[in-house]
Amino acid sequence: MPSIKDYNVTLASLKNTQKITKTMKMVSASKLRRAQEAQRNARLYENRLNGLISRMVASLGTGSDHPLLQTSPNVKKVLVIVFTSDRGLCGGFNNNLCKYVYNWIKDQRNNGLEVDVSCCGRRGNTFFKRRATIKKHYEDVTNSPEFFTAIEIGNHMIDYFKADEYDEIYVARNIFVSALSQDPTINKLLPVGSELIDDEQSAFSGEYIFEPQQEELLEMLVPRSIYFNIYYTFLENSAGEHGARMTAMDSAAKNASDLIENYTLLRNRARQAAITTELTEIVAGAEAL
Amino acid sequence: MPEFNLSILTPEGVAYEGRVQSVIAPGSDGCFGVLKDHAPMIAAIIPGGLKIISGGEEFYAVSNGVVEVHANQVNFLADHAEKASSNEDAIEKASTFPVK
Repeated sequence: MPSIKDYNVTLASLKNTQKITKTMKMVSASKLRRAQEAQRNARLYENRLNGLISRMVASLGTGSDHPLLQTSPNVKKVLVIVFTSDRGLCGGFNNNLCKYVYNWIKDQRNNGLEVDVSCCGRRGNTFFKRRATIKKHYEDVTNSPEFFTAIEIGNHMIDYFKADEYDEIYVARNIFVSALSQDPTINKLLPVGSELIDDEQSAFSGEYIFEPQQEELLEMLVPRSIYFNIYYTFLENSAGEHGARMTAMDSAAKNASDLIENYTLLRNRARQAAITTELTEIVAGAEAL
Repeated sequence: MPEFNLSILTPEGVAYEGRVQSVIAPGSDGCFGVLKDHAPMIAAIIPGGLKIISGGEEFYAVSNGVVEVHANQVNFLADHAEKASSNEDAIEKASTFPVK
């Protein structure tokens, strides 16, 4: 039977665990708030950007000629960028996504497609290292999302696409539904497709001055929409990560407090047993006299 | 001096919003200034210093982007923008931005 001291040691370590998990939960909660705030800010930019692109396409009347909007007639090679977190301790957040993507890849392979993987985030890289060809692993990018990182990745993707290295490029990440649930989702990044263009938008009136010409402006705006998609994926991934960690740490803290309750009871029982034994011994000793 | 609305929007958030008297921006075909009642315009901007005059002077380092001027509303859409202390400081900061 464990002694009172053993119980006290266990209790002390449980209390430490509880403190750590509680703190991690609070840290994640504040990081989650920041990530959601960033998403809101980003959406303002997106609305303006898409509005501009649509109006420019409307006034040019030839938007669908853009190379990044062209769909390839027969798709042979695809690339999927998997967004995961760098750190663990966030429940099934990364694993769910990796498994979902892996099944998707198997389906695509059964359909005769070649699928390569690019990773943003260490967890995804560890998972896919042995299961697929890793085109490139972007390290240390998912922790603090920056638009410049998205530009760098976006340019690589545009280069692959333009060089016909890949016919289609997808992004896979968890969509943040709530702190309790994240949905693994795969979306097409390239070619952009026509959903980017909102037909409702009217063309620019004739009095507009363009510097440089509209074609060149469009040439610089369309990639920005791709960069933005990558950046937004970063934000979504980061919100999901912190939400998942918050939930995981919440239940870990709860488990720790349950265990503490159990062990306190056991320790008290052991203490009581010791006291009882001692008393019996004293009484027995007194009787012997 | 007559004023108009200016906003600088980046994916990371709103960098500036307010009434200003004039703004000087690094356009892809050279720097240009905007005053009230400027003709409607869309222009590309390249990394450089942006100067805002509204009573005092303010400087921002901006990266690539585009600006729309329409009906006394000037909207910058930039990849990145950060506040700088002077024009030199803004240009120096902008030179560290990756070009594309």
